[in-house]
This record gives sequence, C-alpha cells and structure tokens, in this order.
Amino acid sequence: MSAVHSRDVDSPRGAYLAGSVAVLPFLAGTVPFGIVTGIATRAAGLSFWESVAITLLVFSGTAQIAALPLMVAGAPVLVVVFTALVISLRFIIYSAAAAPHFRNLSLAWRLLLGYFNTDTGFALFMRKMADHPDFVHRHWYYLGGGNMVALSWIVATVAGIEAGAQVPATWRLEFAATLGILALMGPFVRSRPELVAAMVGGGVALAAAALPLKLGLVCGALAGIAAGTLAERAIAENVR
Amino acid sequence: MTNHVAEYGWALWGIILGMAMVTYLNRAALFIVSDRFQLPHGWQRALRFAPAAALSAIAIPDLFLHQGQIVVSLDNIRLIAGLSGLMVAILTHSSVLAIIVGMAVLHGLQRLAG
Repeated sequence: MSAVHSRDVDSPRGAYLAGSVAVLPFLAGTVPFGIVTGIATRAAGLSFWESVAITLLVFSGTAQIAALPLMVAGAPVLVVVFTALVISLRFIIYSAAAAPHFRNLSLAWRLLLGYFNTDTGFALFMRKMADHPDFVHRHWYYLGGGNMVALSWIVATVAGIEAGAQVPATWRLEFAATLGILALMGPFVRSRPELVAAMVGGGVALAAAALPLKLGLVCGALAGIAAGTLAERAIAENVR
Repeated sequence: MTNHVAEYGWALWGIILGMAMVTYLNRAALFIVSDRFQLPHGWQRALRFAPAAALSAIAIPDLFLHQGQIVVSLDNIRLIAGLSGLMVAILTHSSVLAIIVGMAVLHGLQRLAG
C-alpha cells in the first residue's frame, strides 16, 4: 500500500491521476443518481438550459433534488435558496476537517478546491490523509478526485435531462424527487440525536405547513437542528 | 398537483444563482479562511444535524398533506409509496432502487384506485 503510494504521488501529475483513479468505485453511486436527478429536474418543468445550469452551478444532487418539489409548489425564491443553504451546511463540517490540510495553499487554489468539496471527495481525501499525513501533493490528489466526480455528475445529469424531456406527465416523475429525498436521508440519520433532528424537523414542518411562504419548512429545519443538539446533550448527560 | 414552475419566469434564474452561491459558499468558506480561522467545536456538532432536519422538513409534509389536510390512511398513496421507498432505502442502501420501487408502488396503487 505505502509502496504504491510513494511511486504514484511524488509528482503533481501522479497525485492527480491517483486521486482520479481512487474515486472510480464511488462513481457507481454518482452516475445513476445523476441520471435520476436529471430526469426529475426536467420532469419538474425546468427547460433544458435551466436544468443544465442548475446541475453545473449548484453541483449538489441533494440540494437540487430538495429544491424541485418546492419549485413545483411555487415556493418563494428566498425559501428555495434558504433550503439549499441549510442542506449544504454539511459541507462546512467536511471542510472543517479538510481545511487545515490546505492552509498553506494560495487563495486561488483554495477557491478552486472549494467547488470540488463533495460528500465523496471528502470521504476519499480524509482516508488518504489518515494513512499519509505528510502527503505533499495532496491538493492535486483532491483535485483529481473532485474533477472525476464533477465530470461524471455532469455527464450523468445531462443524460437524464435529455431523457426526462421524453417522459409524459402522467408518469408523475415529480414524485421521484420526494423519494430521492427520503433515500438521501439514510447517511444523515445514523445516530439517535440525528433521528430526533429528522423527526422534529419533519413534525414541525408538517404542523406549520399552513404558514405562508413555505415558512413551515424553515421552522422545521431550525427546530430539527436545535432538537438534535439538545438530544445529543441529554444523552451525553445520562451516560455520565 | 398543479405545477407552478412556469410562473417564476426570470425569477427561476434567481433561484438557480442563489442556490449556486449558497452551496459554493458553504463548500468553500472554511478553505478560504483556513489560514486564520477554524470552526469552533460546538458549531461543528450542531451543523451535523442540518441535513437530517431540512430533508425531513421537505419530505414529511410532502407525504402526509393532501390538498392542505393531513391524511393518514390507505387512500394517501403518496404516503404509502414514500414509506415503501424509505424501507427499500434502509434495507438496500440504494437510493436508485428506492426511487424505482417507490414509483412502482405509486403507479400500482393509482391503477388500483382508478
């Protein structure tokens, strides 16, 4: 393992290629989900170029899928944007762990790597750094993996966007976005406090659904975060 | 359910650019300031709950509400299809399979009801 590491990554190019190759097994999840996201985006009624723009610029399946039912319901612009903000807050956690490794890079590098901060890229990078804390060309490794994820995401979603245009409305594919949200919750609901956050978030949003401007969603998200934090504290105190 | 996407007009580009901006800032913020700032531990812990809370706050009302009313019965086919999809996701860890099964249940029940 470490022999392979030292041969592969003692040049920027080698590190870039090693990152690109290491990410390949993870793409088995990215590609089908990208296709589904593309189909759902088009089925929700966005035009071809709107769909391509959202997938290129937002570049987050979770945020894109979550925004679709809100747009179909005609939620205010700021509520949709706020939702994307809350859902992508998790990237702050990922970058909190990864950021110290990039402290000495130029600002241009840090701005560039920011775009490629993804669930997959983070998992891969942190594993590599745990094995090789002194990895010099780490940013090239991160960029290689990130470029590969972005490339496959864009190709897969555009394929889905093309396919989605052919689907008749009676298939009710807009519901695929809601199913996608439920399926995506899995990795984020692994512990008891996370389950509390999900149940309180969903419960409050349902109870407050009559509020105007989809503000029930905003209340639910904030209440869920607070409840998760309190539950975690309560469990820790009980253990003690 | 009526689709209101067309009513946004140019405001849809506001949504796309706004979403792009907030997701990029969340991704890049700590990289940008990494030479002089690290996120306090308490904040990191609280932020972990954001995806579970927000995703659930979108999906739960979508499943339970039918024309503004909470409907918990076998007539609510979105609820049943959603729960089926959720079960598949929990059992198989495959979001694509969950979507396929959930859509199949939705269409099966729709055909039975119609």
